Amino acid sequence: MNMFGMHMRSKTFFWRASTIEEGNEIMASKSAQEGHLSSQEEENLINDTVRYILSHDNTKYAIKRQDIVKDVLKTYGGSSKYIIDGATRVLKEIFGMKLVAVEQNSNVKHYMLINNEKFSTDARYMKWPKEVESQQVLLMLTLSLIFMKGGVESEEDMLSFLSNLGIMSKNRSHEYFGDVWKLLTGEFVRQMYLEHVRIPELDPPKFEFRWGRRAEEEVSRRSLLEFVSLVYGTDPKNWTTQYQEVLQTEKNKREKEM
Amino acid sequence: MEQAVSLINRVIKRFNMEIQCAQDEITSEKCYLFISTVENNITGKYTKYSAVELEFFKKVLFEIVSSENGHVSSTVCLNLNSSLPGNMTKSDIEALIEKFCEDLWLSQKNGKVYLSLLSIVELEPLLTTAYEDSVNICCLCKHLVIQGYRCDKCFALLHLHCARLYTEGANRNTCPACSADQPNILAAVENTSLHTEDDFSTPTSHG
Repeated sequence: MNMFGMHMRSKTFFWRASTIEEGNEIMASKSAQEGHLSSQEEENLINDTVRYILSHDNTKYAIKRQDIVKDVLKTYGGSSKYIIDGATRVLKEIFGMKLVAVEQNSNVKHYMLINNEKFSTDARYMKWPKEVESQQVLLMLTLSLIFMKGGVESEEDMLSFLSNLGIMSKNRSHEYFGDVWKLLTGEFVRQMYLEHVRIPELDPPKFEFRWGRRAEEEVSRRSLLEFVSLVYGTDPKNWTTQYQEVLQTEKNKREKEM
Repeated sequence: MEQAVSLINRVIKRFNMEIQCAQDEITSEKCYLFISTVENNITGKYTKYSAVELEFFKKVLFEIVSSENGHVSSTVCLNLNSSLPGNMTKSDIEALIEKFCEDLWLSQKNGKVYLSLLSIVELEPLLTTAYEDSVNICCLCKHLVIQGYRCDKCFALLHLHCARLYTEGANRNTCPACSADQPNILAAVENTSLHTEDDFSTPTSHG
């Protein structure tokens, strides 16, 4: 991923689009592109971007870069990379949150916020809305299943797993978990916890579940393995393939941070 | 705790955020509230509540502010459905009130709907400007007061905890606004507890 290349490309695109508009706007947008924002304006934009990201993140849906440009930066869209970098720094240093960029394809960029800090004391006294609790449980179950099965799980196997646990039943909402299938294929996918993808070249179409980008960032495979081991009364190391994957993922994460 | 809060406030001020300390009007519990100091123009289309839901909340706000006792009955709220756009049934409204209660904007007890402390503190600037003529300001702390003790001579409304501090300090039962005798004031505030800073130095465990 060539970040600099992408910035150049969006700069050129912006320049071409603005030649169609009036002269004044070209001047203003050009100077913003060349980073001639006053430092006060720059700080205001960064602050606004931070507020925007913080408030939009409560749904956990991805925040589109286009929306940040449209709603916050407006005519200063050309400086978006610079401003978003500034916002990323602020979010990390002041709020302890990591802004992660997710690229759907080369033109569309989404962002999500994840917690970068560990709680030094118990989170026991924190209050969560009640759906959040049941969703977390459901997520942990499905993510564990997918992980233990090597990272992919077919729709049918997921269905039977949940039915066996008494969580899924046809045409009925579970009283604690709610509309389970809708959560798995809708909400959790939008929140990037799960990916629900079509297996290519299969007719009639079949789907499978994988870990989503947010799960990769937020969830520890090690703790899921420990949870499963607890349920089965075994030692995590007995699950050799999965344990290897835990070690590999942790190694990759450490290398990325350096 | 205070030091931590003021340090945080210094840092988050640029984002129009603040942690304020306030006392609940009924329980006198001191609470820390994380609020926004400006109306949401940047966060703009705030996606958590729909336009109709926000419209309902505004109507409840108006009802409470113009009420005599600082609260409104649930029945009145349920009947607001007819003045709202869209087809909201009374049970939709009931669910909506529950939602606002869970999100800590309103509270509900014994068939009455109240404004939560969060609403009172965060919306104070909005309420004092929009409903300038209907809102009451406590003459002791100069902040918005919705529920409290009302003097029967000048009709000034005071926070219970403010009145308690006043009667203890001044050692007499008079209205701080008009100095009229208020023999009932002691009885009204006697159940109000006085919190000191010490109460909040360590979190208590509730088992």
